[in-house]
Amino acid sequence: MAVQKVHSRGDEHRYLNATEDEVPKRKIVENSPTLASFKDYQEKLDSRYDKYERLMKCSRDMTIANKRIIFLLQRISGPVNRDQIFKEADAKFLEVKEMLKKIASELVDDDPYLFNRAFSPGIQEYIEALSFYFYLKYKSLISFEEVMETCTFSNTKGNNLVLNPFEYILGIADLTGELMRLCINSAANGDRNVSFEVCNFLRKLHNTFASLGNVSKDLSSKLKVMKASLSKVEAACYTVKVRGSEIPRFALAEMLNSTVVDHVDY
Amino acid sequence: MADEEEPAETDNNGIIPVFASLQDFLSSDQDIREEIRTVTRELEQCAREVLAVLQGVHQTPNDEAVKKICTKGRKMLDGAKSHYGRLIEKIPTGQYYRFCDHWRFACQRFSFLGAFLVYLESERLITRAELAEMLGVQVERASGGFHIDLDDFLTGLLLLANELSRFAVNSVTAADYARPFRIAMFMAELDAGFRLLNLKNDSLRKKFDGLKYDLKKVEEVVYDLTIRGLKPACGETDQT
Repeated sequence: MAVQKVHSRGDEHRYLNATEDEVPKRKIVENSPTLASFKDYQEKLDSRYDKYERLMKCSRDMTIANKRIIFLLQRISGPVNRDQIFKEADAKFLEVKEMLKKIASELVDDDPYLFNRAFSPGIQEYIEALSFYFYLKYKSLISFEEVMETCTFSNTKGNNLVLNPFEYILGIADLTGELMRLCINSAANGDRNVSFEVCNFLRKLHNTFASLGNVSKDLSSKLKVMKASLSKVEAACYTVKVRGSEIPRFALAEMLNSTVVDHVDY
Repeated sequence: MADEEEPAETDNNGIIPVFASLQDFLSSDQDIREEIRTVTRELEQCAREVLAVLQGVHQTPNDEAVKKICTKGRKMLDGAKSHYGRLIEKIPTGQYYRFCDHWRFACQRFSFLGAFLVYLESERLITRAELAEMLGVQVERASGGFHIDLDDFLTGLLLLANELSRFAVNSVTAADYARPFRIAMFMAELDAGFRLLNLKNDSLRKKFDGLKYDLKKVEEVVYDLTIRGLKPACGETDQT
């Protein structure tokens, strides 16, 4: 616009109008219906983006808290008091429950799918931790309905967090990584039965996942990781079976751990 | 699978029943998506047809021809209502955002087409309510049901800016020297509007970054007309 002004100045008188034109134009811009509607859009976008950010933060907190629970639970394969660990985990799950409530309260009156990408990673981590806990306690797979129950805070429908079966599936896919670690640790600690049990469980889980078909990109990449975990576990079980009686326990532990490191680095 | 491996498999750690119910969910999800894809294809076809009609204004930018094109365009846009009606039927209530990636593109096109039509008719910006009425959908999610997502609506407006920059050029070619000035004013206002938004680093933001080039193009046209003395007398150019 500035360029236009400079050039029009040299022209005949009527082209000077070009500069004067801008005076009414600015006025129109200030209180036009266009700008009024954009102010409305601004508010709507801001509130949506803010909510997204808040949920993302919740999700990150959830991930951290649940990772800690998982670390705690992994210590179970050592010489410790199982009940004590479960007790501590229960206390931590109560904290997580508060976070779930917060997410649920953000989503009241909103379509959870709109914000799914913001909070989904945290929820998946939660499902991973919860299913790991459940497996350690009952040696079986927690069902989607049972997970849903833990997200039910009251009888009124709106206040509860409605989970998405995809999140459950992805969370369970992550569980397999933890099971692999559990299997190796147990074998290293001389807990051979646990190792074989986990190996069996993992195999069944992998079979079932493989039969789900091509659900999503996320899942197929997790399936690859799952396959790798299963191979490690099977290799570890093999080692325990073949060499278990030959070499002392500490050496076995060393060996198993070194195979894990090798595989993780690939 | 459970039956084949019999005795050992009786204790399946709860895995099989758990996944049986999930399998149902997954296959019904796939079915719904398939149906939605079919309807959105029709919707996109409809959008292409309307666009073909509206593009006619570049050929003949005189007022009379534009009016005719608008009448025809509006009639054809009416056809989109039935497509939207069919799409709405397919979506489980309250799950708009679960499937919205399927129809996002179509909604952006229709936002653009509606905005273009309204601009051609009355040289002003379309409102969300007008667009919703045009397509037979809800204005806001809050009122329940299918609506045009705000992001998609705004993307449609940016598409409009792009189309108008082209229209300004073609108007000059057809010796209509007043229109580019009006377009420039409209686009300046649109730009001022978009500047109010605090956009995230997403696809809308990327499209908004392109707005300045459209604006520049129109300003160049205005500049060319002005220095050559082709600018019509003041009264004709603004606020008619």
